[in-house]
This record gives sequence, C-alpha cells and structure tokens, in this order.
Amino acid sequence: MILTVTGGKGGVGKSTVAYNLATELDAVAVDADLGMADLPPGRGPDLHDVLAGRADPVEAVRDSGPVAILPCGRSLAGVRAADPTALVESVEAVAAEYGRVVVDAPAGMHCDAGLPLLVADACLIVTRPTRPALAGAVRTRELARAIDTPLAHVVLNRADESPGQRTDRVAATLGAPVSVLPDSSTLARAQRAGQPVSVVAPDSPASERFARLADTVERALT
Amino acid sequence: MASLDWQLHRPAEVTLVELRVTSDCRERVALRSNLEPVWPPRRQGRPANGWQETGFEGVVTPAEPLVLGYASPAEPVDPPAELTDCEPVVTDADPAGDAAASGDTLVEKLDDDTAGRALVRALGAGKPPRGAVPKPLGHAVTAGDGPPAESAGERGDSPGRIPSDAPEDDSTLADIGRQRDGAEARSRADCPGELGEAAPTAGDHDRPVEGRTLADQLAADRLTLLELADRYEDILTVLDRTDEATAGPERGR
Repeated sequence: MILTVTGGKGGVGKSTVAYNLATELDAVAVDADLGMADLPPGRGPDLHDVLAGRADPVEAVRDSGPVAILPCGRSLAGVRAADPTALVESVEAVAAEYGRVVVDAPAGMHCDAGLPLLVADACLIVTRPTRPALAGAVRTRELARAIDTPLAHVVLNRADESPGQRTDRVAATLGAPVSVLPDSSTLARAQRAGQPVSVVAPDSPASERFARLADTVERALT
Repeated sequence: MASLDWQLHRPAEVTLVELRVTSDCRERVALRSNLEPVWPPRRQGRPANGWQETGFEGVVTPAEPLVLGYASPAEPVDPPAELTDCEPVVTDADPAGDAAASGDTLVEKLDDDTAGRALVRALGAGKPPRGAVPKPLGHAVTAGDGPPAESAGERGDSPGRIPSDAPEDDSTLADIGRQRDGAEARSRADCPGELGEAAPTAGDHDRPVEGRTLADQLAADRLTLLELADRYEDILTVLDRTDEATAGPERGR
C-alpha cells in the first residue's frame, strides 16, 4: 500500500501528518520533498542518492528509529543530480520490501509533486482552514484527478473542532471525508524534536487523533 | 488524407524547418526528416512529445493541423521531410498521442516509465537552475551535499560493501589542513606586528575564493569537516555491519 500525503501549499502540515501517519500505519515514511526536505535527515545514502542511481532504495531506508524512514538530502546539487522519474520504481521497491509506504510530497504543481501521486494507490490531502491553503488543496485535487490517483481522505489541519458547514463544504468540494486536526503544542514539540507524537506523548489527544486517522485511512484503502 | 507543407530557413549554420500537416480526417501520421541529424524542440531538457531521432509521430485532426518546427545542421533539401505513414484514428482514446497535451488523462493507460516521463514533460522538472547550485570549495566535498556514490555502494550491491573512496578523503583532509593553515596564517596577519611573517605563507598555501571572507571560509570548512565526520561514521557503520554479516547468520530486515 502506497499512500501519498500532499496538499498544494507549503506549511500546511503535510510532513507532520505524513510522519505521524507512517508511525501509526507501521509504514516507511519516504521524504519525497526533493528540494525542501522536512522529515528528519539521516546518515548514509538518501533519496537523492537513490534517484541519482547511486544507492538502492531499500538499503537507504533507516528502520532503527520509531518509524522507518527514507530520508531526503538537503543539497541543491543533490536535487539537480536526481532523476525524478526514478521515484516511481524506488517507492515501489520499498513497498515491495516493507509493505506499507507513506510518501511525503512537496508543495506545488511541478512533476516533483505529480510523481508521488503517480506512484500512489491513493492520496491524502492536508490543508488548513484558510483561503490560500484551500485553493491549493483544490488544485492538488485536480492534479490527482488528472493523474488518476484516488483521494482517500482530507485532513483539515490546525482547525477548530466545531463541526459545521466549513468541514462539510471542504468534504463536498474535494470529494472525500474530512478529519479535523486541532492546533496542538504537543504535536509541534514532537515534530521539532523529530519524533512522532505517539513516542513523545503517547496519551495525548494528538496521538489519539493520529491513531484514529490511521484507522480511517486504513479502512478506506482496504 | 494528410498533406504536408513546409518552409526552410538557414539563417546561419543551422537549417530551420517549419512543417504544417493538414488532414480532412483524424489521422495518426509519421514524418521522417530528410535532414539529419534532427534537433527536435525540447521541453524540460527532453525531446518534446512525439519526436524521435529521425522524425515525428502524432495525430492530426481537421480542426487542429500539426504545426511543427525543428532544426538540423544539414544543408537544406527539398522536401525537408516526408510523410511515411498515415493511419486513420477511429476512436477518441489515444493516450500516447494526446494525453500530455490535453492534460485530462495525463498518464492513463501508460506504463509507469512512460507515464513518469509524460508527467515531467507536462508539469515541468522543478529542479533548481544550475546557477543556483553552490560551487564546491576547491577539492573538498560540497558542504551539505549528501554522502557520495561510493559510500552507498553501487545500485544492487550488498550492504556490506566497503567504500572505495578512502584516498580521495585523505586528499580532502590534506586540503582542509592546508586551508586551515592558511586561515590561521591570515588571522595572524590580522594582528599588527605579525604581518611580515604571515602574509607570504597565506599567499603560498591558500588562494581564497573570490569574494569569500575569512569567516565564510571558516564556516564552510567547519561544514566540510562535519560532513567528513559523518562520512567516516558511515564507513564505520558499514564495517560493523560487514563484521556482523560475516560473523553470524544473515539478518532479516
């Protein structure tokens, strides 16, 4: 199962959701944000090396931490050397070995945002309750449609919980069920520390929400 | 039936060919250039959709004639290209020809590799321009650049492969050593009274990169050293893994 976490705009929380969702799903988190990687870096070969044909995708996965991760390099030279189209076979190779993969896609509409959708069985859109973020989500929805990748779920990040028209409208516009993720300092702290929130604060509301979200996504994909 | 019309220009040492293919029905056409080699139009560094080494293949409709342009270093000949194949298209489904152009069914019915390339053509490569990539500092490894090819091993190698770039690292270390000596010499040169002693040394040992201040140079050296420390850690990890692999039964992942 390959799930791509995407969203159009930067800074809406794609990486946070991808990282924590990967933890809950016991999946490998692939940091496919080639130019502006967010997930914790690691030593040894990374996705830039894999996409440049210098490393094997499965061997580049670090599975010693709380969540297995295929980290991404941070250098511009690395981005230039990488062949973005190799992402498809690389992610498929990791999925063949580990079973489940969550891909953290970059913002934007270029091919680096499109290829993670191409390789995915389904995608999850993260957005915020702001006009620019929602516009980005709609564009990404269209991109996913053009690539023929189904949308499994939408996460409305850092929104207040009161159910109502807004959530319904987002669900109707994007055509998928919506989960609300309220602002959480625990989650922010965990992300700063490069840890999943279920490790930093296992009993926190944020941790419970991710467990529920993983459950919902899992059911949607099976 | 498709028909071909053309124009030729040769402004310099290159022949520019303009082709126009019209047809009264929807047809898939193949064109072969009589000028070789063909320099096709490129999008994102790759030949545009439909272009091959010797010509072009695509679909022409009554409403949309095919308008093509390419270049060749060869002398102009008349005609510059010929229609080699015309085949009426009966269905609308033509993913290979029109997909990327229409943007609707961008990658439908294409295998992964073709789909990936079609996507790059349609959406753009999203890479930083060459000029934005920082230049390496002398022979030292680029600060912040990922670990080199050798530390990862060749694609498909066993995880226990030992990196083969040790000598290069030695020279890198020697390089950094020289740079550090130079930097120290220059910082001594900053102190009044020691200028005469330090200046020639600085000139001999270190040619500072243009526009780079001492602080920048030291910061870059620091990054390079940290990077090297990381790489040596990696090598140690690989060595440990090799020991484990040779000592005991193979581990599962």
